[in-house]
Amino acid sequence: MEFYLTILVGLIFAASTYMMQSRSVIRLVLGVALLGNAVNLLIFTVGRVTRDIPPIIPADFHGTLTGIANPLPQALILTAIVIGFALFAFVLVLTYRAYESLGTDNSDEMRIAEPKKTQASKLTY
Amino acid sequence: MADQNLISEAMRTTPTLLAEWKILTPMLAPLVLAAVSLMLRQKDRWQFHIAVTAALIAMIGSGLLLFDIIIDGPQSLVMSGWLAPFGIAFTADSLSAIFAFVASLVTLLIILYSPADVDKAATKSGYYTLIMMLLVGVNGSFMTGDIFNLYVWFEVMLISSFGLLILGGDKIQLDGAVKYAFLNLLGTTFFLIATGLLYGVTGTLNFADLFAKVAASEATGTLAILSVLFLFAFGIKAAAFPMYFWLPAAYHTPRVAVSAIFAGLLTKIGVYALIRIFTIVFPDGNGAAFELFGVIGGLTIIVGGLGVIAQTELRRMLAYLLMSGVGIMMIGISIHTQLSLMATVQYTVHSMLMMTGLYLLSGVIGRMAGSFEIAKIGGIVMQNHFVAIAYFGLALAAMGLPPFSGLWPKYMMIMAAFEQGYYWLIAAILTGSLLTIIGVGRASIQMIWRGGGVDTPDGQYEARGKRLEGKQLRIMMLPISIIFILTLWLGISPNTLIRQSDLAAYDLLNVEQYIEATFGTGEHE
Repeated sequence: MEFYLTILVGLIFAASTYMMQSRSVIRLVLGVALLGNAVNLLIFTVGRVTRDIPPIIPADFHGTLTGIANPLPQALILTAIVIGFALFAFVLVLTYRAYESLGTDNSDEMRIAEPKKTQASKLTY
Repeated sequence: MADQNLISEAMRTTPTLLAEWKILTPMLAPLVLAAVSLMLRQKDRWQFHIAVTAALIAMIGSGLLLFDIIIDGPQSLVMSGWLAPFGIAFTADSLSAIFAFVASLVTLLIILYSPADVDKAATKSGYYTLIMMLLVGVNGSFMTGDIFNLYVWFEVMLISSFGLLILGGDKIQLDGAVKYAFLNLLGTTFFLIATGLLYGVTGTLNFADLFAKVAASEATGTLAILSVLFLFAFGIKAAAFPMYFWLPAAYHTPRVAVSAIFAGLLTKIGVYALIRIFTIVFPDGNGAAFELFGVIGGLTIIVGGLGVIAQTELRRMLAYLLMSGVGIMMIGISIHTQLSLMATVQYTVHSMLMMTGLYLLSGVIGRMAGSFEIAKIGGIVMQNHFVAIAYFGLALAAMGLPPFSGLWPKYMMIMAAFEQGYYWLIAAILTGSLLTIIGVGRASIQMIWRGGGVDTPDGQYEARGKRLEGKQLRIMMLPISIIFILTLWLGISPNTLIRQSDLAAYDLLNVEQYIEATFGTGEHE
């Protein structure tokens, strides 16, 4: 199972890298979103996928449970999903606003913040 | 009573003392007050006072924590009483406390500057709330003893910085923010990838636990790859060559106070994370990483120096100056001796203060000249002597010339490189310094001494900018003067800082105390 999941994670990474190469900002956004999901799946996989019982301790049980699933990766993924969702929402609005006010979704044409050509003076130091 | 033993192995059984909460004040105070300021967002006059209080409490809290750490060694507190490595630990050693103290101080100074730079609309949109949340993220990153928790604090910091960057929503800001957002998002995602894989290899996320687990692990190849992944992720954050492109693209776009807090704090978090990870998780660098640090650091210094010369916009020039400093900090991690780490800590503190001061001052100069293009600025010395003197002082500090604070860390870094025989790193530091002197010096001649814009003949004064009102100028110059005095003091009498950074470097190279503090919570009762 872990083997197939690893292959899947690799494929999603490849797809997101391909998307992020694009000049179009919207593809960039999709690439970043895909990357976030690939990472979540990766954390899930490295937590070891087993067919064990859920990590819930019975009411009158005292001692160490064995053969339970690892609950930590799920907690990590949950945190990462929430954070990723917030950032994705922000980036989506940001790209939309940038598209609206800059009039382009081509990242090559987004050059307002870059320096313009200035005329050199003969008195410049 | 087997149950009782089992519980006391996993949880602390003694109550948490109030004094132990001290470690949380640097983030708890701004967090609570940020929430308060959000509730009172319509009362725009209160916002400033709330923010000043938050930064002041954070500063005093981290100052007191620093005293405790000097006397008793590193301090630790676990969440909900779950002992490390099960619970999330906050562990502060002297490095954390020094950085948190200076970061809170810098934030306080920037908040004091803000009334001159932030209008009512921006205040109501939550400018001060975001500044406080940024401080929460920064101080949280310094204090945490858990690598996944570090990721969470990074995101707290990142999302607040996004908000600050686009506040106002000018075209230029949106353009800068797109580049900043994507590249930083990529950086934190890579951090998360590396953290996930590290968990897969070692089964733990706690720094102190990682120290033993990584040393004992047999997966050396995987760990070597992971160390490079961490270097890449934090290299983006620290704006090291060749991952720096987002910094000069974005740092000149927001209002000056925001640029200043970014320059003062954000890249330093990347450097802090590098120092932390590469002293406790990968103390011997795992593979090529330390040589790589040297190469990256050296190139960052040179490229930053060349950028300082090439730029024609004041704030972009400062962005490259900032980057050049990051290179020096990375060289300190690369050499990895007591002396070099001490110089890194010292340089980081110096850079936090100096870069904040220079960015704030660029706001004053830009306001006076009506432009940030160096070629259009002129005659500052005729308009206001204090501004000219402050610029000279901070420029000398940036160049690393006496009597300001830049001299000592650079000198010690060169000494450390000399001791270890890294001669080309010395060459890189000195070349970078020379480039900085040429670039910043040339800008000073144009902006301070020349009478007006570039084509003004020598000896004539025709400044076009508007005079600043007395009150406005006083608000702006107060924090700059404090930074000026601090850098001068740290240059003339560097012993205080040297002693602290020496302690921090000792703690970094001898992590036993840190580990003891993390695991020992509640046991000494």
